[in-house]
Amino acid sequence: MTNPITLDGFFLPPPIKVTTFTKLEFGPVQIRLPVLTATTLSDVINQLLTAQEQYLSKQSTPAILEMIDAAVARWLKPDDPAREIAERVLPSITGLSPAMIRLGLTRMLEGYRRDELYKILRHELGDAHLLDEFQPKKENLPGLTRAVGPRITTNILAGNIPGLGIADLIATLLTKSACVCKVSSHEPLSPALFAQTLVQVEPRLAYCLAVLGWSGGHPEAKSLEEVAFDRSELVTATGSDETVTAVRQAAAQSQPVSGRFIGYGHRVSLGLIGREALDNLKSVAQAAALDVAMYDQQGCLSPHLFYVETGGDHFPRQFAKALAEELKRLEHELPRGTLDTPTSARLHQIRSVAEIKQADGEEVIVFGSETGTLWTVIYEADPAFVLSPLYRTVRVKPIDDLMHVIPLLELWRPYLQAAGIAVSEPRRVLLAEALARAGLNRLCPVGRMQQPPVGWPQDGRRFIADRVRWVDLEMT
Amino acid sequence: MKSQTDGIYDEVLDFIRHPVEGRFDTLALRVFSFQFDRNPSYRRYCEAKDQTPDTVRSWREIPAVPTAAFKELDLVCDRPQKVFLTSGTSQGPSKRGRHSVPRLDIYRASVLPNFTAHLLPDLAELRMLLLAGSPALWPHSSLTHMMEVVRQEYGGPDSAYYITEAGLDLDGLSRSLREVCEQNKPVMLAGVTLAFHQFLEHCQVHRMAFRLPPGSRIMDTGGFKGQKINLSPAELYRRYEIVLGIPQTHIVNEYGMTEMGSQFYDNVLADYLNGLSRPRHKRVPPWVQTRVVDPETLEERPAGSTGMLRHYDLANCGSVMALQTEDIGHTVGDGFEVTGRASGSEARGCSLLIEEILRTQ
Repeated sequence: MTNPITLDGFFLPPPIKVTTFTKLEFGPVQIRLPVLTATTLSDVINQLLTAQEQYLSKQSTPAILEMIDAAVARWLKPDDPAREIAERVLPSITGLSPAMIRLGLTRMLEGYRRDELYKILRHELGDAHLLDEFQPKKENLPGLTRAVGPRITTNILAGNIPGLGIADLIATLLTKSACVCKVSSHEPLSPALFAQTLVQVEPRLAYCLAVLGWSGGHPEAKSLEEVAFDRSELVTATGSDETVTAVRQAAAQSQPVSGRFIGYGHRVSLGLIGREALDNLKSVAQAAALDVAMYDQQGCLSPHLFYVETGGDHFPRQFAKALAEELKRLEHELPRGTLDTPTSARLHQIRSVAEIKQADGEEVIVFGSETGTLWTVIYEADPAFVLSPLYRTVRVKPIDDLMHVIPLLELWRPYLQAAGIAVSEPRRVLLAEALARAGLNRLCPVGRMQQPPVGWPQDGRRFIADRVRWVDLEMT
Repeated sequence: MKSQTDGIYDEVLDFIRHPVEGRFDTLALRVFSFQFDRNPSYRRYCEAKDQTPDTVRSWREIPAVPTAAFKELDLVCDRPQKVFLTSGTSQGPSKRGRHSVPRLDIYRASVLPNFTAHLLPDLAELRMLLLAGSPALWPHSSLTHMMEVVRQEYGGPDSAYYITEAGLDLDGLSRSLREVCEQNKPVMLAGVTLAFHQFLEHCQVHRMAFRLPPGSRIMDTGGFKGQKINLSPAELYRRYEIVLGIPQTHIVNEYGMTEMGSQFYDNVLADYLNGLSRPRHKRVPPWVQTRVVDPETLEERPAGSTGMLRHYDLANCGSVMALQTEDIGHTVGDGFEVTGRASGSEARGCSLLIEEILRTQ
């Protein structure tokens, strides 16, 4: 028996103090969160607004980038104390395997380096200094323009991917906005842990942040939400459709009409593999397996299924078999995490139903881990887009032409996020155009689905640009 | 005229009527062998798993069919006398589970003694207020069929169904309950939990409460599956007690499924009448065996630990006896309790749950 570890899932700027706490239990790990009153939260927000005005609003974009980069650089070192805690504790919190946490954090953080963030600012705003001062407009339009971030932003964070909340925190600071983060009960650790690292880099920057927790939907949470939303110029929410809808409604009631809301709800992704890509069966299967295995398919960028084109050197069912082999290999390299009984039972049920259909002579082939539900590939001739129960369960469906996938996606249009595509150069653009019109927001190579570049258009939105307002200075 | 297969059916019928301790295993293996012969889909499934009558040595090893497979295949050994359909609310009409029953007399034989033992151990007849659709309204419902069997056998005068085409007849039910209170003769309210819940809400809004005559009882079933109602069984039973005046000892939850010929009932009423005091749990009739298995290893879980429920029901001799349900539970004494359902659908972050999106179709 290891001793229970208790860690703080919150971060408050001094001198704010809280005396009552609640604990979330994750096996041997306990995460402590403060029990807040509306008055305390109001004090927090006053504190943040002062810090924003006196410090953050006066920092240049390069200076902020430098500080964020310093914190990220620390987390990228395996011996960094905060990184070490994250790696040790996140497996208990998320259920993901330690190897998965390690790989996931590294890949994610690499995107938040200075150069990457700088490029995305330039790409989205046209000029990386538009958040610092007025700049001449492009195309010889008269006058100057600049971007101004909210004074304060409230981010309601999701917990499906470990470390995901750090992205919201970084985006908020880049807009020179003070930041209230409400952590998810599924992953209440990394935002506060990252804030602690920022303290070491530059306390004045860190004190523009507050990381808190409350149970959305509970009556006592209502007064807290009212305070947070009323005073935030921007509210963002990532999570289930239910959560996002609830936050949107609450924000609409509390915010002035000019207040902004950005919601990121349920999304699904898929893979499309052209017949020509099957020439390199092993490498495309390897890439697809990584997309399935990453975060045990818990991300909105995780593929639910792969459509594989017929008419190539290999049959789609050979792809299914190759994908199964690669998932088996990853079973050792990047093990799946632990599941609770209801989830595990669901996977068992899905697999058994496919097995009985296969036995009954339907065009179904099941490939699965020998023991348990560690991974399952179901080859199925029925072309319908069906959702996966996730946790490394994926369907492979043959299709005579990838363009024929488009009508199958119609029903899912509001939920589509990314497509991993493996086709030859000449076909890519045509397919991409069709997928873009079908509702997808990100088109990437198979094998890169769960390694999005920073600033990828999540839910079709821009990372920084959607968080700012524009101010014009007309000279004549 | 009897067909050659009636032999095994008659044996099962005989066992249900006169259970003999220690004979379950032998009979289960014979039923398995019969189903293996008569049901090609099931046979191929067993062959693929390399678990056939030649290799299976105990009822515990009989391959269990996932209940969801009843949506995909016809799992039946003979021409059915009746086909029950699952409600299929979440997946549209084409994806309703079908349970074909070749011998309704076996179904009936299983229903009656089990019902008597847990809901009518003390009375021969009782007025039944049924919070369900009648056979005419719900022709494919196994629950309605079961209730109708019971009503015909034990239902006193004025027993009736209270769900109509227009939904639950709230006023009719209220009137009947007032009448019952005046007559002061015990009744049974039986039906789907959702209908009970609707009635409780109605009573709350109209500030109504009843003190039903002593000996009155409730049988509810189905829970809040797929509904956004967050009410624990304990809280629900407390409300039954407050609104209807029926004590917890007389509130019996039934757990059954379309795919299964037999039902399970809470021990509470039988125990109360026998002077026993045990925690609430589901009782397993002698012609059924229930196992709690680990979904990863498929090994039996230690007593009291949570796992998937697997039922082996001899009353299913005409379809598939060994059922892998989507229910999660644990053993309690010689019975079990249901605590949840399989879900890959934990709504975490931006990944999405299957039922949720299907509901929007």
